Amino acid sequence: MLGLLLTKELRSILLSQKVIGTLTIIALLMILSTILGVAEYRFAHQQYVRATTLAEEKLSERTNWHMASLDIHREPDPLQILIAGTHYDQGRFSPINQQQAVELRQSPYSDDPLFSLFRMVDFAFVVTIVISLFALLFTFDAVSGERESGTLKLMMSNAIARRTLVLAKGLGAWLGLVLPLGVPILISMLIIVLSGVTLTTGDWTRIAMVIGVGLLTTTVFVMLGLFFSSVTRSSQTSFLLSLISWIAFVLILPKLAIVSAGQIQPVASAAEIAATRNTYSEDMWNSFYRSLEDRFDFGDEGLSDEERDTRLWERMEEQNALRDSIRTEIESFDRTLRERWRNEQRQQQTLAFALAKVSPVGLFQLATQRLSGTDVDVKSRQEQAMTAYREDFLDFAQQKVAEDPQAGTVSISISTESGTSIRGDRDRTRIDVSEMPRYQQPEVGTGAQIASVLPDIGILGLMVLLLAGMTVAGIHRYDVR
Amino acid sequence: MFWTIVAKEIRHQLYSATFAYSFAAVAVLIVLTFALAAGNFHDSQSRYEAALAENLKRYEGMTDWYRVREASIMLPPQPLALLVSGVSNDIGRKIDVTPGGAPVAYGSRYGDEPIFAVFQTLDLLFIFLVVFSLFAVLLGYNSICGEREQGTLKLALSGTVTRSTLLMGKATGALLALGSALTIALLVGILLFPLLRVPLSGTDWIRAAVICLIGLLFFAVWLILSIGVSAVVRRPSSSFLVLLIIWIVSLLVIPRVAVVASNYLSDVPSVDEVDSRMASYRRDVNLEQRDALASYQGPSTELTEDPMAGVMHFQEYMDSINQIATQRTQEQWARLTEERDNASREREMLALTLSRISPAACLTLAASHVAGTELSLKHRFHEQADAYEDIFSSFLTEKTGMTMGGGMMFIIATDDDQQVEELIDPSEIPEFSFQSPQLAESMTTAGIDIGLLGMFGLLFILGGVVAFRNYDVR
Repeated sequence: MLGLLLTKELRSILLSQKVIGTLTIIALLMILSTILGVAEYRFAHQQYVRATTLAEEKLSERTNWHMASLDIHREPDPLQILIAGTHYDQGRFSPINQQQAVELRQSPYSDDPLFSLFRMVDFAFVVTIVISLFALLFTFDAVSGERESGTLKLMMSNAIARRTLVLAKGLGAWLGLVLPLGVPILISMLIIVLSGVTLTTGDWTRIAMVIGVGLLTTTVFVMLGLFFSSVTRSSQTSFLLSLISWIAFVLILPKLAIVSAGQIQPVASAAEIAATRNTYSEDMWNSFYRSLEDRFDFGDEGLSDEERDTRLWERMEEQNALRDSIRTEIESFDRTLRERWRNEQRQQQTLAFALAKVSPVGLFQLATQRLSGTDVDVKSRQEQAMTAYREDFLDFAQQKVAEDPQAGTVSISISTESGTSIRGDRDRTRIDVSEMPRYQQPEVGTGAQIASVLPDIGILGLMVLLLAGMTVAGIHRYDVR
Repeated sequence: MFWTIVAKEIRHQLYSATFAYSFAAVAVLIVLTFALAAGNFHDSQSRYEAALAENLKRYEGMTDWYRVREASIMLPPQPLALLVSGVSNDIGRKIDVTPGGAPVAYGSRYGDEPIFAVFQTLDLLFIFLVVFSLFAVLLGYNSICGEREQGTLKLALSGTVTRSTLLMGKATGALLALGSALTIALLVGILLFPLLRVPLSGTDWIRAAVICLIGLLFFAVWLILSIGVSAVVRRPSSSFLVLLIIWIVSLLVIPRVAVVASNYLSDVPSVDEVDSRMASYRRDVNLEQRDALASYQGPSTELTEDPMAGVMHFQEYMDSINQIATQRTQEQWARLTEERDNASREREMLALTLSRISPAACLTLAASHVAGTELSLKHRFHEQADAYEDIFSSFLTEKTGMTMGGGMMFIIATDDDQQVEELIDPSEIPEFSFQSPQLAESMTTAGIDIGLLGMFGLLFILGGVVAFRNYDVR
C-alpha cells in the first residue's frame, strides 16, 4: 500500500505545473550560482597567484635582508564556489616582518566593496533561502489540503494506517523535490570540471558531504511542512505557520544567535587590542630611549682614541642586545594578549554557534562552511600558520644579515678633525629570494573536516526524527472531517 | 464607488488571518531590528571610545614630539549604519596616519570579527528587502485571481464599476491598510531609539524617516506588482509562483549578475598591483635619498669650531631631502590611487546602472545613500584621512621643527642642562572628526533610485490596469 501511495504522491507532484515551475527556478538558480561561483573563484585564484608573485618581486627588489618584509597571501579554496562562507570577509594576507604582528588584513570585500553590496549567490544561499522555502511549499497542504478537498476522508476509509499515509506523503514530497535536483547538481559539477578548476579526491568527498548536508536540511523543511499540515485543519493556517517558521529559522534565529552572544559575552574589539599592544610597545620603547639618554654620559675623558672606540662599540652592542630583548618582550606581550583575546572570541563563538544550532539553517551553514574551509576559523588557522612561518622567515633573514652585516647600511661619522663623512651602501645587488623558506598553506585534512561536522549532521538527523515523530503523533489525533 | 471598494478592501485586508499572522511576524521583526541596532550602537560606541582612549595612552610618558610617528584614526559608529549597514561592515575602519605615508584603511568589522560574517547582519534594509517584499507578495498574490476563483469577481464587475476602478480601488485599499500597519510598526521601532538612549541628531531623524519611507515605497511597489500579477494569471497558485520567480530574480539574481558582469567588462588594477608599483617607486626614491646623503659635504670649518652647528647643518640638509622624498611619494601615491579609484568608479557606475533593473537594487542604493553607508563611504573616509594627514603633518612640523617623513634624523641628547623634561600632552594632537555628507547631498544622490522605485510602481499599476482589461473573469 505504501508503494501505491508513494507512486500516487510522486505522480501528483511531478506532473503539477507548480512543481515543474519551482524546480525549474531552483535548477536555473543552482546552475547560475555555480557559473558565478566558478567565475569568482577563478578571479580570486588569479588574484592570489598574482599577489604572491608581486610580493616576492617586491622583496627581491631589496638590496639587503635587514628589516625585510614579505606579504603572505591566503589561498582560496575551490569549495568556495559552492559555499563562499566568510572567505570574502576575511583578510587576504598578512605582512611577515619583525615590526608587525601577524594579522590577516584587507579582505576582498574591503578592497572592492562593490562586491559586498550585493552578496554572493552560492549553493548555500540556494539551499537556505530557496530550497527550504519550496520544501515547505511542497508539503504545507499535504494533509490539511486533502482534508479541505474531502479526499482525506476517502483515503482513510480504506485499510490504510495513518502513519503509512503520512510516510508516503513525506517520502513522496522528498523524492519529488530531491530527485529532480539531481540534474542541476550534476550540471553544476560538470561546469566545475569543464571550467578547469582542479579538484582532488578529498575535494570531491567534501563536495559530496556538502550536497548530503544540503539534502538533510531540505528533509528537515519537508518534515516541518508535513508536521504543520498534520496539526492544522486549514491549509491557510498551515501555510502561515510554515512561512513564519521559515522566517524564524532562516532569517532570524541564526543572526539573532550571533548578536545575542555578542551582547551576553562581549569581547574587546580588534582596535582595542591593537591600541593596548601599541601602548605597551610605546612604553617599552620610551624606557629604552630614556635608558639610551642615560648612557650618553660617556665619561670618555682621558681615554685614548682606541679605548674610546672599544667603549663605543661595547655600548652599541649593549644597545642592540637591549633592543632585541625589548622586541622579544613586546612580542611575548602581544602573543599573550592575542591568545587571551582569541580564547575570549572562541568562547563567544561557542555560545553563538550553540544558539544558532537551534535552526537547521544555522546547522547547515556552520557544517558546510567548515567542510569548505570558508568557516570562521580561517583567520585563526591562517594566522597560526603564518606566525610559525614568521619565525622561519625572520631566522633566515637574520642569518642573511649576519652573513653580510654591512649590506644596506649607512655609516655616518662626524669628526672635529675630518668633518662629516657618509658612506652609503653602494652595492645595489638585489637579494636572492630563491633560498628563502616557503609558506605552506594550513591543511585541515578531509578526515578532520568531516569529523568536525558529524555532530551537526547528527543534530539535523535528530530534527528529522523528532519532526517525523511529532507528525505521526499529530496525524493520529487528526480529525479527518 | 471607488471609495466603497477602497473601504471594503481595507476591511478585507485587516480582518484576514493572513494579515494577522504575517503582520505580527513583520512587526516583531521590525521592533527587534531597531532594538538590536540600539544595542549594537552602544556596544560599538563603547568599543570605539575604549580604542580612542587606548590610542591616546600610547603617547603618555613621551617627552619628545618627534617620537609621535603616527596617529590612528577610526571610522566612528553611526546609528543609521546599524539600520542600513551598506558597506560599513566590509570596509577598513582604521587608518594609521603617518606624515608622508599612504593612508590605507584596515580592520573591517567582518575581517576582525568573522563571527558576524557567518550569518550576516540583521538590519532594517534586510527586513525591507526580504520580509517586506514577501509580505507584499503574500497579501497581494490572490487579490484578483482569488476573487475569480471564489466567483466574487464576476459579481463585483456585474455592476457599473469599471475594471480600472476596481483594480485601483483594491490597490489603494491594500496600500492604505497595510501601509498604515507597517508605518505604525516602524514608528514603534524608531521610537525605541530615544528610549534606548541612541543619540540621533536632527538630520539623523530626517534620514531615519526617509529610510522608512523608502522602505514603505518598496513595499508599495511589491504590493502593486503582486496585485498586477494577480490580474494577469487565472489561478492564485500560479500567481504565487510567478511572483516567487520575480522575487528571486529581482533580489538575488539581477544585482549579483550586474556586479559580476561589470567586473568582466571593465579592467581595474588590483590593490596588490598598486601596492607593488608603489613599493617599487618608494624603493627608487629611497635609493636616490641615499645617493643624496652620500654626496653631502659638511662645512668642516664650522664643525671644527662648533660640532653642534655641524650636526644641525646636516639635520637641515636631511630635512630638505626628506621633504622632497615625502612630496614625491605622496604625489605618486595620489596618482596611482586616483588611477585605481577612477577605474573602480567606472566599474561601480556600470554595475549599479545594470543592477537598477531590479527594484531591490534601487532600494539598497537609495537607503544606503541616505544612511551614508553607500559605496563612496570608503572613498570619503580615505579623502578625509588624506586631509587629516596634512593637519597632522603640519602639527608635528610645528612641534618638532622639522618635516616628519620616512627619512633619517639625529636624536641629540646632551647633559648640558639637568632640567626635568616635560611630558608631551597627547590631547594636543588634532582630533579626527569624520564628516558624513550633507543631507541635501545624500538626498540628491538617493533621489535617482527613489524616483526609479516610484517609476516601477507606476509601471506596475499601468501594466496591471491594461492586463485586467483583457482578463477573463469567468
